[in-house]
Parts: sequence; C-alpha cells; structure tokens
Amino acid sequence: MSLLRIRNLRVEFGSFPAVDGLDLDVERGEVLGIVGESGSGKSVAMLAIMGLVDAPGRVTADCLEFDGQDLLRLSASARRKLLGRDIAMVFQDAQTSLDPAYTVGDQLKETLRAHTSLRSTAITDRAVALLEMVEIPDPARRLHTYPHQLSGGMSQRVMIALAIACQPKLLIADEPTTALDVIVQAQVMALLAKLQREQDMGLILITHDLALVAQAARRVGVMYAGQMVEQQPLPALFDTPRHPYTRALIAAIPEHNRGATRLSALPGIVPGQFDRPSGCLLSPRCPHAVERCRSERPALLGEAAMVRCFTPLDAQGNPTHG
Amino acid sequence: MTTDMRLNADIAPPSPLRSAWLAFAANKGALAALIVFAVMVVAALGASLFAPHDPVEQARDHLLTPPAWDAAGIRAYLLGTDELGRDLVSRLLYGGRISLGIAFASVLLSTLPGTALGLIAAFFPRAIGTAIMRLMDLMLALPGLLLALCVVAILGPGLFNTVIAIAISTLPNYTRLVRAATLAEIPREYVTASRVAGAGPLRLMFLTVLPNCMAPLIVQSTLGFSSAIIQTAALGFLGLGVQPPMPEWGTMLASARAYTDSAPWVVTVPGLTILITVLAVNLIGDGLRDALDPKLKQA
Repeated sequence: MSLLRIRNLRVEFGSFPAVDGLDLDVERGEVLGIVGESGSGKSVAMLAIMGLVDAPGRVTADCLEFDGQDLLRLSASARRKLLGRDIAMVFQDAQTSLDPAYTVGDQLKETLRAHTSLRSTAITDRAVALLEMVEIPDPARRLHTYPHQLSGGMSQRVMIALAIACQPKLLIADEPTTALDVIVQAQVMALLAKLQREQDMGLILITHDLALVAQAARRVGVMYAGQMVEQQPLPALFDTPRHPYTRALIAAIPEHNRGATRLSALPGIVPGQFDRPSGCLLSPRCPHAVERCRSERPALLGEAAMVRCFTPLDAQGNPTHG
Repeated sequence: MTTDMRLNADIAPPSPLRSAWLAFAANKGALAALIVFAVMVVAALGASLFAPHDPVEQARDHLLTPPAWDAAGIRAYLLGTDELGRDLVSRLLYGGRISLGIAFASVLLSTLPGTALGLIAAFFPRAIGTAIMRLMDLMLALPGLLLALCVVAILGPGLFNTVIAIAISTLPNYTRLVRAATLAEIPREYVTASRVAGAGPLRLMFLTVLPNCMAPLIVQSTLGFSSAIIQTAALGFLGLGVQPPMPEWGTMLASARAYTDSAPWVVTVPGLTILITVLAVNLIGDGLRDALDPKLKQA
C-alpha cells in the first residue's frame, strides 16, 4: 500500500485550475522528485495535500489517502494533528519561515510539546539531539539563538530539524535549496538524503533544478500548467524523455547548449487563465502538435513510464504515431 | 574550546529585549522622561507616605495660601492651598493615583479587547472581520471626547465610568492597529510554516502572529496612556469625570478656575503636573518607537 495516494486532485481559484487532475503515489521510504517551472502548480498541490489551501481556492479529489487514512474525510482538527507529526514540510526560504519572535529552541520545543508526549528535560534533550542530527555545531548553545542570528544554510538546517522533529512518514521539501548558494545547497541535499535514508521517510522533492533531482530522486514527475505530463524512474527520464515538454526542459539545460549562441527554448509561455487550450495544454508550443492535440486532451498513460501525449517521443526524440 | 565559547559569547548579538533597551537608553530625552515618569509613579503610589496632609482636610484659616516661597506663604503648605484650604501637594500626590490609575486602567481595558478584536478581524476577514471593522469605523466617526461624553451621559459620572468611557473611545485605534499589523504578518512564510506544523487558529493568533505585532502596539499604548490622562482631565474639568472632593488633576483644575486671577498657583500647579506627565509619557513613547521600529534598526 502506498504511503500517499492521490487521484484526480484539482485545486481551483475561481475558474482557473492551478492543479488539474493530479495523480500521485509515494511509497514508504521513496524519494519522488517533482519538477516544473514557476506557476506549474507544484507548491499548490502540496498545500492541498496538507489541507492548507484557503478560500477562495477550492480543492477536490477522487482519492486523497495518506497512510491508509482518507484525508478528505478527516475532521479539520484530526487533519491538523497529522501535520507536523506524520507529514512535515520544508520551505524554500528558511530565514522567513522561522518565527522571528522566538528562539530556535522555543520553536523546536513547541513542536515537540504539541505532537509528542515528551516533557520538561526530555524535550530539551530531544531538541539538542535534533540540532545535532542536522549537523549544527554546538547545538546546546544554538537553542538560545534567534532566527536572525543564523545564516541561510543554518536556518535551513533548523527548518529541517523542525520538520523531522516528530519522525514524519512523509517529508515534503518545497525547493529546499533555492535560496542557498551551491556549496550549502550540496550540504543541505546530502543532509536531507541522509535523514531520509536513516528514518525511512517518504520524501517529495519539489524543485526546478533538474541536476538536483537527478542526484537525489529515484522517480521524477514533470508538471506543466497544473498537470503531470510525464513520470518516469531515473535515469530513464533523462535518457529517453517521452513528452515533448520534458525533452525541451532537458534540452534547455545550459550544459546541453555548449557552443550555441542561444539556449534552446520552447516558443511561447505557459497558458494563463484566459488562454487555456481546449486540447493538450502544450499544443500551442509543441513542435510536434497535430490536429488531434488541439482538440482533445491526452490522458496520463503507461506503466513504468507514464506520459500525457498522443504521440510520445521515441528514444531518438521523434514522435511515434500510432 | 573554552576560549572559543567565550569568543562566541562576545560576538553574539544581544537579545531583542536588550537591544531594544540599548536603543532606548541611547535616546537621552526618552531616558530622562522615563526617570521623571518613574518618580511620578512612585510618588503617586506612596502618596500616603509622602503627603504632609490629608488631601480632603480643610484648613479653614489658610484658604488660598500662596506657595511657600511667596512672602505670604507658609512652610507647612509647600505649594499653597486651594479655595477650601486643602494642601495642594497632598492633593497632587493623591490625585496622581487617580489620574494615572484611570489612564492605566483605561489603556488596559482598551488594549486587551482591541487586540483581540483586531486579531479576530484579521483572521476571519469575511463576515466577522467586516462587521467588527465597520463598527470601529462608526466609533471613529465621532470625536473621541464626544464619544466619551456620550458614554458618561449614559452611565453617569464617576471614577469607574470614566475608565470605561475612555476605554471605549480609544478602542478603535487599537483594533485597527492590530488588524493592520496582523494582516501584514499573516502571508509571511513563518505563519504558513507553523500551519504546516499543525498549529490551530488560536495558537496562530496569539502565539505566532501577536508577538510579531507587539512593537507598534507597545508604542501606541504608551501614547494612548498620555491621551488618556488628558481625556481624564478633560472629563474632570467638565464635571463629568471624577467627582469632588476626590482629588483628580482635571477636577482640581476645574474647581480652581474661578481663582485664576487672585490665586494663579491653584490652577498652575495641577496644570503643570498634567503637562509634565503627558510630555514625559510622549517622550517615552517616541523613544520606544525608535527603539522598536525594525526599519530603523541596523541589521
């Protein structure tokens, strides 16, 4: 049984679908990468899983199960109990994600007090142990520091410590390293990978950095305009991308454009609220689009390699007609 | 290792409380005002120890005695006596208890509900928030003193009713201030982060958001304290506040106004006291604003 099972998740703001029929499975101890450009619905989908999409946003799903529990049927307070304990999240900008009015120790202890049965000195010990786990030097003293006294990498480590405080079964990392420089980025990713292995957590890694996903994830989903367009294990996704969008995404990596005067790019932009095509969402920008692509929406099909395209690409990058 | 630790301790930035105090203490005017205000408070609290006379005792043979440094002054009555022969020093000291007490109680009584209403209005912006804010707009449409007068007219004059009147007339300021500060904090990432950690609405309101809105609230309530002193005095002067013979600075001013020409000290002394107190509190408020304003703080 999967840890997280989502079928046909939709998040709408007015008539605009920010997430449009998302299917997703995460197994225990699995690392799933989700890539996509800004505004493709990655973060909104994750907030919807946690039940944190506020009015006027509307969330519907055929199935939203976590660890055997139907999240849609849980009461608001029961669902809140899951948050922070079984599902935790790490954000992009750790320095603004920590409450500036409390010390690091207060925030760790508050989480522990709310979600575990630990009390008094056991809580302090656990807080120190957590800071040690995220490799913060001199953890006992760091408990008394305020977030503004920490560097970006340190804050992100504290965020991770907060997230894993109650040994969650699922950790959602929403662009955890975007705000960090390359060296700290590598350290934080190594730390996340280590903790994920040690605690056997499910990890959803959201990013637009393909290199990051290539190192960390075993399976990667590509999102475009609120839809999952392709999902494949690694390294197959990079070797034989089957969706034209994935192929364009990989082709746009600067390292693949050595010697070219311009980076390879798809013409056009992501469809917005008023120009959403009735057919395949990529059809206005797709170099291989045919008549059927403009009138009909393809479904996400396939077993190991799932792709949302009428004419998936073959290993040579040519559309297959069939 | 030990030297490392000590080095760390030396370069560690001061805690928020300490850095605010350092910024406040650097402002000499605010520091002086704080000392003046502290003296006032101590004098008012210890009125029964310091006062040479009973504040309502009437010395019939010493009506309108001038202050002690005047040729006609008597040393027993340092600042002179009023039209009924009551000692002005004692009345000022006991009056401080009432004036400062009313100001403190009314600030407390408007800050606490104002904060709660502001938080609720910001967290439930649709029906409840709109209802609260329109009610506050309605209250703001009347001048503060007029609103206080209305409340006194309904409840009747008196010590406790003065507190309620002033609290009600200043309530909208706090509600609006807290709502605005809260609305600015809600979309910040740390609030989302604590929702993600499972925080419920009450915890979000009072433990997550409120501590981050404290700076403007502290400044506003300090300045509100001084306007409460003035409003108390104004209500007392109009005869709608504290009733005689209770010594209250505004009431003292009112009862002595007939003698402005013949015995100017009887109005000057309470008037100056009000002026000095309000000035001191305002200077403290300005100092606090500078000390707590994050925009002026060096990162």
